[in-house]
Amino acid sequence: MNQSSKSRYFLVELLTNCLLFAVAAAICIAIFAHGNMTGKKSAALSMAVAEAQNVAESVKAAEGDLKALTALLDAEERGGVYTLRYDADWRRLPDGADAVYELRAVVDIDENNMLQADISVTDREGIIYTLRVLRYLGARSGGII
Amino acid sequence: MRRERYTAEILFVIALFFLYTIFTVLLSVMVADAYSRGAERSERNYNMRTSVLYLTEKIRQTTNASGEISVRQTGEGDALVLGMLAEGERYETWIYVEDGYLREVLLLQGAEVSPGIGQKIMPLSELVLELGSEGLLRIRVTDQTGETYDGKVFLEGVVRRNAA
Repeated sequence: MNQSSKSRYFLVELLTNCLLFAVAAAICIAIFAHGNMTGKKSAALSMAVAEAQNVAESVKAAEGDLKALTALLDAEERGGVYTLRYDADWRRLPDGADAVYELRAVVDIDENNMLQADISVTDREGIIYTLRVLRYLGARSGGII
Repeated sequence: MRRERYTAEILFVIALFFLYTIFTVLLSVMVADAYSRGAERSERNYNMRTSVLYLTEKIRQTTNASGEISVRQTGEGDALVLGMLAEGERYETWIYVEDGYLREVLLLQGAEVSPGIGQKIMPLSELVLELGSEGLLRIRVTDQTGETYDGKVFLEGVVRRNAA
């Protein structure tokens, strides 16, 4: 076997390796990209749950008083709807700012004194999390403050 | 002519080998970076959420047991104090931050919290508690990297005091 055919075999071997490597790399990158996206979605869901819970606790504390809820949420109320905006790191943004995440709380008290708050958190793709708070205001309880 | 062709083949093989090596290193770096970012995000999420959830669950336990909740001060900042009655004695669970850790200790009511007495729960650099007149407890935790996270709990059906 002369030197030329030896190098040709090595070239074929190397090209085969490159092909296998390219396939493995493509699969690997796709898996990690998917993992990265899943991780981001998981973190966003976790924060969305936490923010929705915080708003739900504020709704409970306000006990149907929308003015008190406005102060607790530090957000403007428009027809029983509160909108809270967040940036990519879940920091609050002022009203009208371009938000990455948005929390909407629709608060309603019916004639039977039942408070209902529908809280939804959305990103640019759609709804991440929803939470409903139901509270009968006739059974208010509390302690010594 | 034959020798020139042989040299070109060798050079092509060497170039291909270097290309292969560069792509291998690049892929390893990319994957390691993606993994470390994912792990960091997951850990930060865990640290932030766990500390606030721990405090929230402790408060809910006290709320269900009709205990007493107050915010007091230790040498390093705010402390959540959960009072309860057991076998005729009043006890207090103090949850606070000291030496970079969230700590917890159970004491007889009236006993002082001395340095290092609390059991370490998890690393945390700051705990800020604010009990509003409407009964909403605002919890703000800061982790070792300086990231902050806020939580709120409505203290319902429980004796609450804004004690100093």
